[in-house]
Amino acid sequence: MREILRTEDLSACFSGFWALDHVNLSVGEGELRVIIGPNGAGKTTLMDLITGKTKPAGGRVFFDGHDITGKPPHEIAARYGIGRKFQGPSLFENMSAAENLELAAPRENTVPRTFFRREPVRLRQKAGEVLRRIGLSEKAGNMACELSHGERQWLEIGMLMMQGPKMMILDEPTAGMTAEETRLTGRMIQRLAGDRTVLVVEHDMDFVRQVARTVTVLHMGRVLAQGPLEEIEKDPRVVRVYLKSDGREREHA
Amino acid sequence: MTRLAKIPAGRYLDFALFLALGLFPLTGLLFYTQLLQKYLVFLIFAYSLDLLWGYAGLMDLGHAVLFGMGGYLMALSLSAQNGVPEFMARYGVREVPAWLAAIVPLPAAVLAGILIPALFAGLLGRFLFSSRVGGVFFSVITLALAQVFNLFIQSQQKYTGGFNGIGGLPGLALFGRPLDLVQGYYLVFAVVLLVYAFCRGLTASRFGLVLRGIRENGARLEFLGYDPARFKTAVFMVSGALAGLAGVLYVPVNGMIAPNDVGMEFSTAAIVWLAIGGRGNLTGAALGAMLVNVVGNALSENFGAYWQLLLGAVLLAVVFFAPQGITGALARPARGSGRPKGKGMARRA
Repeated sequence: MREILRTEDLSACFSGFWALDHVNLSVGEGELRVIIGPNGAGKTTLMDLITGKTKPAGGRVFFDGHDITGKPPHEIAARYGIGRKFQGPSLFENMSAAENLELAAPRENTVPRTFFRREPVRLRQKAGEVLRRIGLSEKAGNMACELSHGERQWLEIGMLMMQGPKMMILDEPTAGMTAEETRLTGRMIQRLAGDRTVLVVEHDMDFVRQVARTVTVLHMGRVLAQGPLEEIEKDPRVVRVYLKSDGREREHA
Repeated sequence: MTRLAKIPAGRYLDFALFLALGLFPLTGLLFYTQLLQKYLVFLIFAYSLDLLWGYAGLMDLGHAVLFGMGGYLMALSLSAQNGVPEFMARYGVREVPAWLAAIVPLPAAVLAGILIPALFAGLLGRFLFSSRVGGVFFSVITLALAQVFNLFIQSQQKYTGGFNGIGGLPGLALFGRPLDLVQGYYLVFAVVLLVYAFCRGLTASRFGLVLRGIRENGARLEFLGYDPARFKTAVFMVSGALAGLAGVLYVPVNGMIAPNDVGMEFSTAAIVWLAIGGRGNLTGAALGAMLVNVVGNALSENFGAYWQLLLGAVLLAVVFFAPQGITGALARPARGSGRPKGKGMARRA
């Protein structure tokens, strides 16, 4: 498998706290990689560094043969083709579901390409198709803020489908979903993988078991373990810092 | 409010307003025709601010600076048609300065009055938006700018007439022939219709979609490959050009321009029109500008300056009960409280 993403000694520091400490990560083209780890392990920070939201304190990020370290987010998205779904999710609240998708279309995103330009028809058709795939055809005209939590998560996944990046980064795509919604989302993501690289940050172990092949475990800003899910689940270090505490958290919840 | 742009109700309101404005001179009420002619100019200014504030979410508290640039350039040109203007001669200016001579031909003045505010907005926007100045900071900086520009105009008495402004200017003319009131009214009306069509076309294009995206969640747009700074600068330039055009028309219509027209006072007035009328659909901007001015004029005839107290009360009522203005309230009748609307990651980050 050809390597598409590589980080070399990637580090991030927030006023003295090393959120990421020399992380070396390698992801192959077309791979579906799941990143797990306890809260504060640096998962979201890692995503922020790859997508240009945060500038690294040290180390480099290579994507598809290019050094993208410290480039602005819009360049990483438009030129290198990395798409991202936020923890949250992050939408255009007072715009319809269809409009959210239309905005996510690639290429038509510079001033000269939009100024007095009509929306291309194929783009609207594509938005309609994506709406069907995420099960929101009926709600195309609803404002994003009127959708349920699960629907909002799907809408943002739909935005990534529109964007069609080489690599998708999904930050907790099933947070706040029911078991059934989580299962559907897992299917959606599995279908997305294959023709492109997908990087998922998740807490929900049922979901991880559903989709994961290779898992990377982050702990206190470092890579603690990496490998096939079956090995990771047996790894005593992982069980101690993550899987056990995850179980405890759920009992409390 | 974006929903209004989809249903035809907004278009009917626009049409009704334009029909009323188009027919008004037929009543023969010359005094009110003259007044409405001035308000027509304000419509252009209101559209210009709506592109910036209503669509892109950039609340310019000093928008009259751009209006004033167009206005003063036009006033200077008109006053120098027959050699050195009187207010300059008083300060010992004997010859028309070269920069003024360049805008004495009226087409040059009109062009400069549109392009210079646009250029100024472009430079300011490039500087502010690429340094990620936005939100309330943009408002504060533009507010300060309005005050600075007002002081600048007052201090340059030799070239701007200072506190008194520039007055006694000729009215509208077309190809060198002066127009009478009704002809002038329809000339301004035609420009308003053109500006309206321009703004509708622009906001219906994909550019308008991106502007609304910036308003809703500018930070998210970056991860979709957009550079919001460029879009903000572009819309600021367009808005500046239209504000300048409004200033250019205002001077011959009003016969004079003074520092009050270019500072905080007029900037805030336009903010009030949009706050009351509604933002982000053009209809509300026009409705607000017309309502506030027409009603304000009627009330000031009876209550003098006290009508502003009433305006203040109305503004408070709108902010509390219809925060999206009249058009916003019309578009979403009795909308439930719904889920709280976060501003996406911008706020969480």
